[in-house]
Amino acid sequence: MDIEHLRIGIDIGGTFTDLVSIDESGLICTAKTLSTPEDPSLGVMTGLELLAKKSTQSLSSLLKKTTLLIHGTTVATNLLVERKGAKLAMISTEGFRDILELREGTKANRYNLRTPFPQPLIPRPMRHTIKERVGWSGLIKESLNLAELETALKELRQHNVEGLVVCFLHSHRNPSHEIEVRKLVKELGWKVFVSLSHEVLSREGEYDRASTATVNAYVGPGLQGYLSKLERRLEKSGLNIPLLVMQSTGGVLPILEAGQLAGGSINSGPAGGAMAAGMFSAMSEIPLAVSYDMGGTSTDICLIKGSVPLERHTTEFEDVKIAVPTLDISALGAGGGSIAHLDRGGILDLGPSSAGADPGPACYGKGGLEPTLTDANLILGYISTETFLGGELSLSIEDAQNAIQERISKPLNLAPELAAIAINALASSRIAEGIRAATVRRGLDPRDFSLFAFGGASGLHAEAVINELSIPRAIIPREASVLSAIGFLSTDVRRDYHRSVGRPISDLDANELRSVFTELEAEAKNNLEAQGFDSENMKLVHSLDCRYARQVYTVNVRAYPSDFECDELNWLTAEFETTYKNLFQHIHDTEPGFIDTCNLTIFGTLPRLALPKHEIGDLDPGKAQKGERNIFISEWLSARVYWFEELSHGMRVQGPAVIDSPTTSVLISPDGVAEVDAYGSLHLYSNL
Amino acid sequence: MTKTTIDQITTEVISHRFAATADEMMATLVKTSYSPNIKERRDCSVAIFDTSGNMVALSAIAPLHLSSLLGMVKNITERHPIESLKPGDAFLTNDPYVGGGSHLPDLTLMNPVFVENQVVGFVANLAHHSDIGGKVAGSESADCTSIFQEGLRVPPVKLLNEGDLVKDVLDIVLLNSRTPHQREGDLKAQIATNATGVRRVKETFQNFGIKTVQSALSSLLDYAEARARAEISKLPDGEYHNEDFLDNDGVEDKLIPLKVAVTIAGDEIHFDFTGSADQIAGARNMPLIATQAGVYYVVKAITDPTLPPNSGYFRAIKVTAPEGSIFNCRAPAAVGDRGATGNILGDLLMGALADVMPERVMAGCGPLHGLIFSGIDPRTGEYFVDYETYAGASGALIDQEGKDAVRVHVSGAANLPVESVEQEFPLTVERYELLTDTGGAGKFRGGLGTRRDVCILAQSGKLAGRGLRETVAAPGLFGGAKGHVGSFFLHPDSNHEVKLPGSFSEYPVDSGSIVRVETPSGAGYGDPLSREPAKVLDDVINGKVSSAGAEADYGVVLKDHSVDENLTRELRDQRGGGYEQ
Repeated sequence: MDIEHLRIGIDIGGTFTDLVSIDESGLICTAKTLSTPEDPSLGVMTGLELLAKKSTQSLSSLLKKTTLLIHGTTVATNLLVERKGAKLAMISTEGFRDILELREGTKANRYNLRTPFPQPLIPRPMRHTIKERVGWSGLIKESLNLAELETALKELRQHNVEGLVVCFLHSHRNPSHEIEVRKLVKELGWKVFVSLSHEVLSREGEYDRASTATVNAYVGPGLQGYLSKLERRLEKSGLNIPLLVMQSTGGVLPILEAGQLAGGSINSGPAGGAMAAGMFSAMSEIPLAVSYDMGGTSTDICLIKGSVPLERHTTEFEDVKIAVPTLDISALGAGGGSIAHLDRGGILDLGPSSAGADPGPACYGKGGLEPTLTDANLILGYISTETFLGGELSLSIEDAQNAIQERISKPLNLAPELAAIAINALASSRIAEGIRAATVRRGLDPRDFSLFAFGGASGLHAEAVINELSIPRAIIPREASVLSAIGFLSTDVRRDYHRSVGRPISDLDANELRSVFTELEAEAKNNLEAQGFDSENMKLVHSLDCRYARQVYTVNVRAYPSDFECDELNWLTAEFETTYKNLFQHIHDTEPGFIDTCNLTIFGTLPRLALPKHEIGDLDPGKAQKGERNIFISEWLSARVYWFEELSHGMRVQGPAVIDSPTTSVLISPDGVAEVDAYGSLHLYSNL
Repeated sequence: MTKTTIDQITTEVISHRFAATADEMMATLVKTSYSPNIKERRDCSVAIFDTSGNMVALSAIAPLHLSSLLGMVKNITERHPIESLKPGDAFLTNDPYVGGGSHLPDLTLMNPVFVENQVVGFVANLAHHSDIGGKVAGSESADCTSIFQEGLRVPPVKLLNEGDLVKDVLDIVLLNSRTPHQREGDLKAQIATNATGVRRVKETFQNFGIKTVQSALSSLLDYAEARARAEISKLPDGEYHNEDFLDNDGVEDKLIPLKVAVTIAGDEIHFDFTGSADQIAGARNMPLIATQAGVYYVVKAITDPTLPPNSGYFRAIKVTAPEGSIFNCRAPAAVGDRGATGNILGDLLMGALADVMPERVMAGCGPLHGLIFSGIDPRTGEYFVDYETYAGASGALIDQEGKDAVRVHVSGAANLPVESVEQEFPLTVERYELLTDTGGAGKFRGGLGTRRDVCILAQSGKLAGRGLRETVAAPGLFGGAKGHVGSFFLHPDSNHEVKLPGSFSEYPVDSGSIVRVETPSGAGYGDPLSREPAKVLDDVINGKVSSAGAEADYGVVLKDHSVDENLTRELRDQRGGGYEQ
């Protein structure tokens, strides 16, 4: 088979490493292998071998044909979660040694006395302060004491420090002192990972900047080390193109920059799923979508507007604040492995603890005694005992029943199938609530959305979720279980540039604003040119974060090149007021809006991924049917069973039915109906 | 599916919806308000009530805010009968004696929610405004001796009449504040917040039907009550006592005794404050509702922190305090600084229950210290008021250190970032750091207090300060040492250093003056001589305890960055400590 211009997406998850390759004709090949947390690059190589085998070629011939390789990784996430990051030191303004430990002076849950703050990522002896002072306006009040700095750096260097964090007050207004630190580090010949707070986050708020720069330095060296190891392995095996790394923002960066801005990889994996949902939205021309990716332990939810996933500014990760933009993915502790239990008041509850992969749900027969969502779905007949994970794992209904019987049925005095259906319903309602929070909280009506359901465990809840929220339809892509890896292939190279302005709109004239953006554009274009992009393959997105002068939170106002041709800034005032009013139902009409920050995002466009589109063929789904199986809904009934992969464009499946594939199952209730679209995706409709 | 199962799930969905609505309201309030105290420090709360005034959802960073919310429905409907309410009405109030509030800066706005032409509930939000008039800039000072000195009193009055702003009322509020522009921005934010709440609550009632939602709410209240009672039942019946003191009454230097008797009987718990001081001259009096809020916080924190935030669990708790006492003050007692007393109340109650539930309570805590800066900003020529508080630290627990630099018990707002302080106000922060050796020694150490130096660059600058645990330090538990006391200083580390009292106001400061705040720290838990030497070493390495402190407070002798086992054993034996522990 002659495959040229192959594109490969690789997603390293907690349990599995997923690989997807797509050739020019759109032919998709997938592979799944166990992750190897000790050295994740080993799992990647095994996966690539598998992928090569599936397309009957050698690894080196596969890699030689590869023109794009995008990688999403949990390396950064794991370093943070497991607290195995770099040994760090910090340099800050005199008098402010303890920024990291003083935090925000409060804690979110006032009633929980027993959860301690996490240990600071930089111990106190490794935090040095230097005489220097930049004022609130950016004016230097006291110049940097270089002698003191040199002494501090020399002292820290003796402690095998791997990462140096620099956070001076007001560096977002004037970064020169932070830059001087890096200069001196270089002059001293110290090869240490340097994280300057203003580069990681150019925004007011010293704790946010310090914390974010610290996370960046904490995961940076580890991520860099891993990426260069992986790059070496790939090069040795024949890859001759640069490796790109998926970022939390949904863009990709070459490994050098990905390593420097390591804090931007914390959401690398889930971002792939959100990007894939964006891609499917674009293919099916869906204006508003919400995606949920339900795996073993959690469900990741993201909103997709005009095929672009929404973003957020700040993430609290295990009580550590990371204030850089990321796709606005919210995680719920509900997945197939979530444990069902009775709470202190005797009420049924699900998760957030999970049985994980080991021992896994009771039905895996690996010694798990706690009943999980997967056990409930098995008892209900929604999951087949034979085809789970492509038949590699046979499931024990008996073990599932025992677990549910002991922990749920007996205490609640419910028949096992009633307990199971209550667990299933609780999961659906959790997901629905998460989706509601993601939509309604933004003032958006779920009825205007389509739902993308992917990840192994989602198909059994999709119909219930859309019915509960009155979402008109759910779409389940055929490649649901490896969708994140596909998502990597639907992205572009992306860099974000910001310039803090801090002035009322009425204070600026159009020329000034234009020149701010012109500077940002020049910087952005230079960067992408250096990566080999020509101007035709660059896309620029301009926006301004605006607010009223006395507010802190900003609303993002999109700007277009034509706006900058105007001689006045009335357009900006009008856009800001409209956006603000939509969000908050009022404006302050006697006050000018205030420009906080100008933002420029540059995309280096990568070749579009086009999945094959199929013509309508045989409409009879009977050919895809694989017999029947008993399922419990409100009573036991017989449901037709179909093979997902054999259902083709235009086929319509009437419930009650279950659609199985090696990695997922989809439930269609007696009132439900599903249709297959041109890409092989299933569409379920709510019973409105 | 059985009927009970369906109901449980519906109830849960409805409960989540109300919680999500409260969160969404909170986000609107924080995002759209103007004053740093609300937008950054999040000194604000929102709640949703049923028609009888039961709170069914809450989003709050400070437990004390409950006190300005709980009495609201009753007080508003007494003045404006429920039949007279119209869609689009919104009521503003702050008064503790006629409005159900707990101190004047907390302006609370409440809207009825109408579905099918009937009131189905109320949404409310509270925002701590940084100036509401009165004798002191910032409207909160422990030395006020009457509520009439503390600012504008607003009984429940309409701020919106069927959706239209009642400008006359707004004008009264604005005219009485030293910083009217911020007040207007904040009030607009409060109006927008309730508009959001009304819309969402309405949707919930419309989606599920009035009857279903009402019955779900009532079962949620019952559920919270049942859970609280189940927890209380586990505690041994009996009567438990404790006593603590306020440093002063805000006016005169004399200790103010606080007493509690806690009676546990079956699934009920009763807190009786008889024997505590009569209401005091200064502003640290607590309206009964504030006392209740403090009690509800403690019960939830030490029984089951996951109790749903609704009125149901209050039913298992009884609170009594003699009328006219510090815990149930009468008009016109000043109440501005009731939060300070509320934090000592937290220690008082935890101390009372320490023998009953040693594994749940905290040792005494270092409460926040507050400063209010005012004057003319030379950069703009405008008058400014900066209301800030600085975190103290929490006491140790049975198996862990107290938290450093954190607001404790009933208070909860966040720090104002130093960069925001300097941007917004004519102030520069010279240092902000942890105070070594302040954590009360113990088998587990109390949290460290903080030190902050602020340089004032205002013209005609004035300073007001307030803080407790400046004389009476946070009490330790089971042999743990007390916390360190807090202090205010002017011109620190100079030869004209002045120690300021624990409550002062309208203190003139020249431009260029530096004020220092040292916040009190948390107390220790258990005998310090039984603290693992390795932990003491760790504290020394991390600068939380000095080498001298290790020896003096813990009997641990260090040599070359490690513990000298022999000398430590000797020293501890001399002091009769339990080294083996």
